[in-house]
Amino acid sequence: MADRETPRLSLRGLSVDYRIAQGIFNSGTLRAVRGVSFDVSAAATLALVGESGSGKSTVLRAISGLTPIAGGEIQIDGNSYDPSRTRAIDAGIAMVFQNPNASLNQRLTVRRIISDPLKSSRVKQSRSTTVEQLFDILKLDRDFLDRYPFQLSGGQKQRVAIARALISSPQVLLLDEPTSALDVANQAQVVQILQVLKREAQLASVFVTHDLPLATHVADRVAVLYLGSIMEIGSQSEVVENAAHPYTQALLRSIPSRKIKSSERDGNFRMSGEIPSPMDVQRGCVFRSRCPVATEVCAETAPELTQLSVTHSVACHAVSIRSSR
Amino acid sequence: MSDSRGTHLQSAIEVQHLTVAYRGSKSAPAVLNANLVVPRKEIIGVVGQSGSGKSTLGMAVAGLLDPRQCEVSGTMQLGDIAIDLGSTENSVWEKLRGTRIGYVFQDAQAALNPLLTIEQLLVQPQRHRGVDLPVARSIARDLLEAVEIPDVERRLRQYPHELSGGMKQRVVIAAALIGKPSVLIADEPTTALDVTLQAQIIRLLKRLKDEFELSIIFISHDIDLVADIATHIVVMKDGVAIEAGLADSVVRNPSHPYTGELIRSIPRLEKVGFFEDKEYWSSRG
Amino acid sequence: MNGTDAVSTSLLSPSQKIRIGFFVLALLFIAAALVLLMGSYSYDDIGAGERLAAPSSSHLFGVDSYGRDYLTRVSLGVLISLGVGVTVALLSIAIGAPMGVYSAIRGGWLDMSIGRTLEVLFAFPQILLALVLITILGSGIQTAMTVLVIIYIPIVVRYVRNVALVEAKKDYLLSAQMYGSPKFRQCFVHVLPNIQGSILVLASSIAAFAMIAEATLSYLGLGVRPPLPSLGILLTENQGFLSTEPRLIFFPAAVLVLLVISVNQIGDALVDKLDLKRNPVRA
Repeated sequence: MADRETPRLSLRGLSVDYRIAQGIFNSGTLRAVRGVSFDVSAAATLALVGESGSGKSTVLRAISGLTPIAGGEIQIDGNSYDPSRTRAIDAGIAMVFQNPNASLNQRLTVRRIISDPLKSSRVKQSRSTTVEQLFDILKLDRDFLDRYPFQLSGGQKQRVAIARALISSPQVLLLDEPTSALDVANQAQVVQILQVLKREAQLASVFVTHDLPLATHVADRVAVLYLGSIMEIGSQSEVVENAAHPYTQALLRSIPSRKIKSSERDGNFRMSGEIPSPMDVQRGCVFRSRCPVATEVCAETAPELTQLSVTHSVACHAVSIRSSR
Repeated sequence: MSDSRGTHLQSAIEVQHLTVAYRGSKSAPAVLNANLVVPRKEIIGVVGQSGSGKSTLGMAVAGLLDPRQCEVSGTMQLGDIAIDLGSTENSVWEKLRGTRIGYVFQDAQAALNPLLTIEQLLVQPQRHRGVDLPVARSIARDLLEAVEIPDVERRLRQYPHELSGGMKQRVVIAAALIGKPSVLIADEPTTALDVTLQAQIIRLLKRLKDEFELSIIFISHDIDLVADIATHIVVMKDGVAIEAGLADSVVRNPSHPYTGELIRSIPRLEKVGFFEDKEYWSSRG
Repeated sequence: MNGTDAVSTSLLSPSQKIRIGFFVLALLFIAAALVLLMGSYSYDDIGAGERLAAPSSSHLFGVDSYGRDYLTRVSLGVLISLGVGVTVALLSIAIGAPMGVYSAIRGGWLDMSIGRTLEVLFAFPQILLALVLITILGSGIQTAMTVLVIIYIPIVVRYVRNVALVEAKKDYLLSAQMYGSPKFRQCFVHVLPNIQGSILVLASSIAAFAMIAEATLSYLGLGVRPPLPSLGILLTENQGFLSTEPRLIFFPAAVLVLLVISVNQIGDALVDKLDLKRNPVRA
């Protein structure tokens, strides 16, 4: 076990490139993740929030070894971990995908689905007891073990997917929009189960979502991602109540609420336009094309993450100028 | 259309006793005895989870259900026109959809023919109705401007795949407005979009409502979104409209336990005291 | 959307089609087997009846030009054709499908070299390939089947590889990759069971094609060797009697058509049925 100071999962300047076709003969690369850094301690959850194209899922895929890393380092308990050399499962990493209909092999029984990771891993366990214990924790009926996924409801299927992730006793749990394919009743249940697990199993979780309210609900810390860069990271209250980055503020204002109708907030901040293509972003701040406070410096250099408090950091020139005064 | 001074001037659409059953399906009807009143120039929200019958309701009102597949009954008063939802001919519906009812689909990608340019997509439906080409073209330009698409001349020459998701949905909305309808049915028009784009589309729909004097039926699974945009809400569950009323009162004092469940199950920023502070919105920005 | 059946253009449901298809095949098979087991004639017994005798109670299909009982010959032809179809389908799938799946999942140089090899094979005229092999191996039923299996394997590999490549992008396989499932396990525990439907459909097409191809090869004198009858041989032997004794052409031709239609109907219906199963309609 690592000491208290060492985070369980640590990303240092993680970058991911995608190869893309340019015309018929050339292929270029596209930076999907640009130097992302964060720490997640045991029994803590970091939410990665972003819109489509923000690279939030790519971060997870890079950690899990499904996408090669272009730069940066991943550490588990302070030890460097290279996903291209070590299998994620052996490094203590497990992942839950968005849609259980797609992520569960429909042709296997639930028992085989859950125990399949053990057949591939160095982590061997007394299998049957573990599967049954997991079922009790996840409030799944043991009768389901010999059924096929299509015989279960959406919420049950997602809990089976969680059981499969937990069978290898991971230390880091990656969650890629685990509730967005479920209806509201099941969403609440899955979120509740994840909260219990985090405490009981001392898991460090990374929860990827497009839903900022959900992120603040499930996570201790929230990182807001835009075009592959972290715009703002902090505790849930810091990011929501003291949102410093113009993008976070715009995001908050876009969320429908029955208490304050959007018409009542329209006057303050309007973010126009859409996320540009990553290919169009060469220099400067990635958000500048939609930013209401962008200046010349934003077009020249990309802002670094600047600490506003011990836990709260923001990547914005306007904010760092304001706070340095 | 002649404006007869009937009793229905208050409402744009009144649907009564709408029942839709899928043929050959043994399960309960998709929509059972639903009533819906859409006041003029207002937005009414229909909210429910998947399978609640909310989309079926929207399609029935637009005459989009295939009579070979479903059995529809009920009546609808559309302004001064009385429509039997079960027996109206498709040709009548086509005329209505061209002039009185517009329909915005959830999946903009699927709603736009990928082989046509944006101009063709907006001009061809008008040509079918005998509008002269120059007139149709200028209407197409006006519509794109109305839905706040920048750089109209360039966009007109582009194909749907060259547009971003938000732009495509704007084109779909423009296409729905071609015949200057009085009623717009929007079925989850923002579900496929990111939250910042959703906010833009919602603002757009509100503006278009005033500008085009539209009455909008806004269908969504998100009760917060519906409460934000609509003045009236209908809550659907298993094909039945279990609750209807003014948006504010439905959200504040839901009379049906299921509505309360829908409201509670959505994690909200209110929980961390975010929206409590109205000052926040005036002090920043 | 609600749980309604997809609008079908056919009068019969997929399950009905499959049932009817198998029923016809079974009927033909059993009838043919019974004739051979219980019948009093041998397929090459040239003294069975008067040459070219018309159908009668002792020779239901009549007698051919050599004096052999035609029912017995057609029955054996059915069994041989069916046997060729099924064997060729099974063998080419058994060899080609694992290659295709492994090629898709393994990727890298192996996938590349398999891909290039296939391209060369596809560029090679199939009839020439058949002739070369027959020259080497000599004509006969085993040679005919070998030729057909060799011709169909590349088709199976390419088809299965493409299907597997689609599967490889699905989350359940990414999930398996993520927990480090060995490639072999990915292929045979995960992908293969999930594409078995597509493979079954392919197998039925190959069986139907192989039956016709066998008839063609036999017709050209490259397949089954007389006096052994396949449906193709029967057509060749009796082509001269098309105008005088059309029954000699009609019986084998009709049976061949029936066999191929049945197999194709089963394949067709499988496509519909599996498609429904893959996209369960949500209530």
